[in-house]
Amino acid sequence: MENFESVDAVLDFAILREQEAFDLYHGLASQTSDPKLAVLFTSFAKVEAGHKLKLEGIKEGTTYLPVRQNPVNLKIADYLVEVEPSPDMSFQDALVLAMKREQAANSLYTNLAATISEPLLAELFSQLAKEEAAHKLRFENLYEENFLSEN
Amino acid sequence: MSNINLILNGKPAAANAGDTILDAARAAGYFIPTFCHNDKLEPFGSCFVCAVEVEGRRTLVPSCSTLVVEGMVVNTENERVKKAHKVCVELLLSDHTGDCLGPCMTACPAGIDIPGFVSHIAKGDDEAALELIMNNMPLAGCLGRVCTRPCETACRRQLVEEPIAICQLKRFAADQAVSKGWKPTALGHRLPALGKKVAIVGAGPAGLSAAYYLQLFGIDCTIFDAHEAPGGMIRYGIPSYRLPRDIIDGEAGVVKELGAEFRFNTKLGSDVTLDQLREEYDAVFLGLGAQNASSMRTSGEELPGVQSGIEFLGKVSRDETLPIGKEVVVVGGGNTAIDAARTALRLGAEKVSILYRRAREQMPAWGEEIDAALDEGALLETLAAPVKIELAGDRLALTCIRMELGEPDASGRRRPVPVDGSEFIVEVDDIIAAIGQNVDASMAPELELTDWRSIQANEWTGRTSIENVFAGGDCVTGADIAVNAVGAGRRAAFSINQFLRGETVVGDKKMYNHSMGELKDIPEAVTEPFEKEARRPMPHLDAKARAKTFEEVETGFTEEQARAEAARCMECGCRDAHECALREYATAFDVEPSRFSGSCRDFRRDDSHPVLVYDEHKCIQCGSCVRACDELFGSPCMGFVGRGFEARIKPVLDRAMVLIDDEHLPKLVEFCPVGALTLKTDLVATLNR
Repeated sequence: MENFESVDAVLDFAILREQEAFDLYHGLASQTSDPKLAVLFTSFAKVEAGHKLKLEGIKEGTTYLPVRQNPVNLKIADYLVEVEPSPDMSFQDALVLAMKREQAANSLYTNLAATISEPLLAELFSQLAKEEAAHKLRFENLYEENFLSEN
Repeated sequence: MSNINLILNGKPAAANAGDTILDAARAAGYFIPTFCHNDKLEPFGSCFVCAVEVEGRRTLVPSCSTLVVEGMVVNTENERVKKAHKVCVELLLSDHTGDCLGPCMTACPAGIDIPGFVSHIAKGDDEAALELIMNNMPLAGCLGRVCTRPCETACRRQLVEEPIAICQLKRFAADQAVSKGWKPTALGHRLPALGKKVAIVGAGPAGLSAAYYLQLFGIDCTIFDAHEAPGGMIRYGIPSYRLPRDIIDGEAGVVKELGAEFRFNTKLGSDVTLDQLREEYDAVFLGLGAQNASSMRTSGEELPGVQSGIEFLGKVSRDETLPIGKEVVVVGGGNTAIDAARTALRLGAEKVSILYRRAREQMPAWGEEIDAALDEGALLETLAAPVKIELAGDRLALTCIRMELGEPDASGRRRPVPVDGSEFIVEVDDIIAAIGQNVDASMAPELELTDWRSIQANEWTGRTSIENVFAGGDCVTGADIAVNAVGAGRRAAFSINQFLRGETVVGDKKMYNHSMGELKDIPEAVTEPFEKEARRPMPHLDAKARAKTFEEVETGFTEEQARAEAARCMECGCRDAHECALREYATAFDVEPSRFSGSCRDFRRDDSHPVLVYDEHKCIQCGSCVRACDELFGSPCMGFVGRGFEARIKPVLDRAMVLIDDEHLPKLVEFCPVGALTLKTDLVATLNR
């Protein structure tokens, strides 16, 4: 587990994670054989780039992390089988991949918030966890709309 | 002899002394709208819809009452005149109460003339009813059994007690045709062969509908389908106890009799490509459906004994003796899930449970189908979702989790959320997942798709991203109701016909429709005349006995039941819908009906007269009926009552129509340009096609 001794260290960690997510979706966009899926992954990548920009803004002091209520947790991601990225992924695969990724990010920040002793940093991780939960909810909503229409 | 020269729309024209501008324009072939003008009456110039521009005059002038003079320069078609026509109609609409078409008809995605066919059944003319239905719906027997009935949701009779059994009446008309051997008259009314041919991919509701109307247009169709028989999802996704196969085959047979050729067991993408079809045919229509089952993405879904609802129902449609285990769980809450559950019972399953993630009232399946399933012995487990599937000897262990409805989201909807630690396990023999369907358009990669992977197509014309390729139904909208697919197929037929004839592709004509509004907006005066009379229930087989057989559950109305049920119809919609000048101009001028909003005149119908109906709320006060009484009949039947904005045209002395003892009264219908005065013998919204 990394040592987080400052707010900047936490933000750098989060920024790196958003960059990784951007790279993942950007890579999937270029690999997929489905042009519509390429557009979808590109939109996911843009969202992650937006998150990264927001965090950079927070680090520079030009933006503030919004204080969120805990987003609804539909737990759809909890009970779906993992998807491995592949060039012939379907739209359903893409959403499962994305929501699981956001779920992993949420879990990571939640654990860090619980284990870190510095209250300010713990609060920051807690807010980041809520951000990721909100992202997961977005994908779960799309999934429910498109693939759970009769359930 | 013409002795007046004028300039009309920039071109020289001639007229006779004493002619009006309207006379001169008509003689020159120009159209000018009119309401209050009638060739049998003296010019009046009250409605002003015929206003035109005369050079040198500051304001527009009524063409029906302005005489031509030598050298007059007239414009009847410039933007100023067009705008004036449009505003005139919009002003009239702002104070117009009524419906052009009944709410049932506008709710029907296929646009069936519902008040018309129901009226025919009430009067005992079932053949005419079926003819009217088939103007818009060639699958009356099929859809009369399985349609989800948006028409009945809109039916105003429910404001009295219950909606009319429109769908079941449609089935009645179709069944009468089968039992009496009627053939649609359309079979003898194909347009001459155009010498063009269309490939239709998919013999489901969209494809059959497109083919039927294209054949009538004189265009030859070849219908390709991957399956071995026609029907698409209504055959392979709906069990025979709801829709017997001979009904599907009979109605597909009519399409064949019209000249369409069927090629079964031919799959797009593998047996034939889109490019090949485009090469060989003048146009292609894709009615592929949404036949891909959504997978649960649950661990263990790939184990033997687990299948999708579509896969299961498809197998049973080919073999109604398919083996099944004693205990079955069906996951899902739509009609496919219910069909799967009821089918499993019929195959001999002893315990069939329907597992649904949300609450009963949120199930998309039709309430009557859910009730039927429960009556037959199916069990319903709501607020439960599958978590994983594992082998348990030669059975399956399905781990489920309880759900609870959480806080409402922004739209007010309470979402189901798993309850931690509430897992439970059920051991079953078969699991059927019916959680939704989506489109597989991978066999036509050339086409542009929507974000949801359906085919990108204009929902009115059916045009896709490729010039001579059209599409409609579920493959465009995603999984939807069959009647939407039928409507889409028909609209595409109009578009393809235009395309093949080198015309501008605009699809079927969209007419303006005026409406009294939603159910909550309907004044009591509309429903007051009707006494309560319960809807006739559809007869059906006994629940426990029928759960052992694939015999059709609903047995159909008797003649007596059908006539009585049809007689409950309130006949919403206007008898004059297809001749009404107000509707014609509203369509032509593409009006904005709510431009001049404000209070509207009250609903006031006088149907006391034995042959005449006066809907005062539709009157546009053109005065033609009043003038006809005065100028032609010499009898004061109708007159203006009141002053200013409150003035109304009424029977003289504001008496009820029945008290006007005048033989000329029914003749006034001819002079009414809208549907304010109509004859009771005219059917509501009878289409003239």
